[in-house]
Amino acid sequence: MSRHVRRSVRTLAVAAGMLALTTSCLPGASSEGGDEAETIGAGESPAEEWTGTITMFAQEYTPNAEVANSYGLTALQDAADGFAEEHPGVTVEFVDEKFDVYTEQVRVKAAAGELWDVYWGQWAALNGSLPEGIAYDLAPAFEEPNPYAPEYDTWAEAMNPQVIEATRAGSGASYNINGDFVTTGWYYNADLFEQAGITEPPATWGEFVELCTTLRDAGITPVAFVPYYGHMQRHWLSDLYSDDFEAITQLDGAPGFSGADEALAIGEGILSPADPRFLAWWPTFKQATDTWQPDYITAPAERNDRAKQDFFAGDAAMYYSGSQTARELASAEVPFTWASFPFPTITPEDNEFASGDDTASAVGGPTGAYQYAISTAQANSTMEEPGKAEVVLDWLRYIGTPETAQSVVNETGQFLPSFTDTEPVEDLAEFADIVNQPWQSLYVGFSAPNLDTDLQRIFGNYLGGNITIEQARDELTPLLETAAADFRAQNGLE
Amino acid sequence: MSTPASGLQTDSRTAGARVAPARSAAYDPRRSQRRRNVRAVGLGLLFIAPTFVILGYFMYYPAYVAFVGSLTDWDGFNTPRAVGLQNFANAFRDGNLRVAGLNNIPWAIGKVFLAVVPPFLAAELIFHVRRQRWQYLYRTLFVVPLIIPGIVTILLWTFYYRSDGLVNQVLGFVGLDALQQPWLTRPSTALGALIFMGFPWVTPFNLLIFYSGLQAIPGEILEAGALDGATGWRRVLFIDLPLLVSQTRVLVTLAIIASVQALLEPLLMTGGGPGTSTLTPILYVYRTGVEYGDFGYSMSISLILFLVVLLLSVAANRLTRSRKA
Repeated sequence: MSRHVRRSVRTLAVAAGMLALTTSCLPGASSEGGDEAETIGAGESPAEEWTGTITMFAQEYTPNAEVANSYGLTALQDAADGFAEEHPGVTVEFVDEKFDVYTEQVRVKAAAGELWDVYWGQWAALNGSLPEGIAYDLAPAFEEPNPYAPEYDTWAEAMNPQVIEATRAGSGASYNINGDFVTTGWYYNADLFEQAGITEPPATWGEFVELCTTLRDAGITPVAFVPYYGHMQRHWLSDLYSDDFEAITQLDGAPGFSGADEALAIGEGILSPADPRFLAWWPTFKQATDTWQPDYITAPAERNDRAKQDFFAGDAAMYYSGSQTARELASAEVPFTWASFPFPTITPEDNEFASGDDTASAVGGPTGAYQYAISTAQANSTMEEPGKAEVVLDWLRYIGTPETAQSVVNETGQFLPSFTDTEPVEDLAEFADIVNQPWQSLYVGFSAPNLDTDLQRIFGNYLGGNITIEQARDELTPLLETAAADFRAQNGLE
Repeated sequence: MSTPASGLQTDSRTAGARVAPARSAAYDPRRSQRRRNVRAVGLGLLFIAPTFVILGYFMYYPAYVAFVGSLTDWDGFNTPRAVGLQNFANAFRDGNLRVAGLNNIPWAIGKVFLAVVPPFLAAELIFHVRRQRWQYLYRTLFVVPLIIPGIVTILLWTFYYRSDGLVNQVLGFVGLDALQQPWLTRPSTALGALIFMGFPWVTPFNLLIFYSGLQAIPGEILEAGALDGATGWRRVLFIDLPLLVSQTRVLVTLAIIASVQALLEPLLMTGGGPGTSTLTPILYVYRTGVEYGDFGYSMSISLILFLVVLLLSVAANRLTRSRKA
């Protein structure tokens, strides 16, 4: 072997060694893979050995917060004090931070193994956009009794079994406890309505379009809002596909609408441009958006913060948002009278495929702030401490009772408590039954992390008049087919 | 006299020759010099070692990790699996990346133009102001915006470009109502709006570079040029520009690098839209990595971008060097 060849071999060997070393140095490389959900709670009783501090990011319910909210809440702190009394040596510390890009922050913290013990996590993110293995699967624990809610046979019964079913991952895993409901609707400036001679909020989509036109003709910007596809499609698809809802949710053989249902429905040409209903609502929807503040039509959904400022400043008559907006409007002391109305019903006169169902509750639902998950040891290295995971689960059981959930959720008055036998605050009493009604919400966006952004991009471009419906169809078809095919392949659904 | 003198000399050489073998056993001047050199070099290396360690760890190691990561399917959390060159193959088939790359061409051309021409003209204007005090004042006025964070400028221009924003108001004021439009929501105007935001485009740093270059031109050259008739625009074209080639080369290279790394403007102003009309490669890198969690793919695009920047920078340097020659 010549000297040159020997040197080349040595160089290659060193490079390969360094490559292997660096691969092993990538964050997460040394940890166990997340191919299967890690479970917690199956047959495990609360461990008393571990002592220390449990960290929790409670989002809107953070007590004594200066940053995360400014409501001066105490209910969750009271719960933490009660838990500490029952568990000497264990305290709960709440993280008082506000995050503009929360999902990214969670991802980064998890990659570093520094995620909080208990954290706010929406079921859709935990099932989809966040990496697998970032939270424990709580499903086994749900099937056991909760010692802090002994009147219920299982923890699931103390919560809302319907919500649990609707929010399960395709694998059957449940990654969070889900204790509050968001209602959404149109918030409006009653003074501007009066100025335009409008006395009644609209009940149907046709009336809504008429309302927007009347406002525009009166020189008033009807709506400041980025028409977020992720939300708007739920109102429309839930209506247009209402006859097929049950069949679609059964595609994966499990109850509730899941990513697997979506991927299979796309593959079968149901939730796809191949079905005439899928895009039929876009031109109908555009009738309204043609009158809206144009700067938000093609913008990304995050720009709704600015749109909200327009509404709060009285520059636009309407803004679409969740029930938390009522509290924000009150806190901001806006200089106008405001009120709200639910998303209008879509009638057959509005769209040939419409069923006329009330789909106002299709957006929101179990997506508030009382949505808590437990970090795995991979996402939070302190969870490796013997006995800690069990104590953290015990804390979740402690706050996962109807009594505690109701007191915490009602303290802000923004959302509806959804656990069994809970009641909302008086202002939201009229919505109390929503949490017990079948939650029928159909949408597309689970199959791939980029779908939400790309669908918004195409939708906005169409509404902005930059592409035709045919061009939109041409862009959507391969996008959906690729995403669904990848999802099916990754999850063995072929 | 000569003999004793020469004899003395002889003696002296003889004495020296006698001593030399004795010293050579214990002391070799060349080895000693070498040792001193090694010690000096070692000391120098010791002093600069922290810089290299920090540079290596924070600059080169991440680049190396990016290279390794680009060969995996890393999601930013779970164990990466080697996928070979699959990410690169996907990148070359990716329609969004292709569009982003095409968007980057006018972006780079526009930004290079704005990085060089307005600051150069402003520097010339200031340099030709006769009173030093006024020169100082104008220089300060142009440089003060340096302290304004770039993100503030971006947010301001987002408002300026609104349908009811400053740009449309000015157009209406000067009677160009027909040109009024929502600048950031039309694919035909959005990219241009992003490129040409920041009027009057006099980047303070670039202005100072050109201004100091003009100050460094020897007075004799200017006087000789003036005698040959190189005054006014002739002087700018035939004396200033050729003598500012090295400054221009640096600024062009920096502008190319900055244009390929253009993230904040599209991220904050348009999100890459409408459609993909303002999507840039680096925004796509951000999206695929941070938003979609596909870090392996994101790293592979980063590497391709690195190569593109390297090639463009080398090309720009070659181009300006040949001009100088």
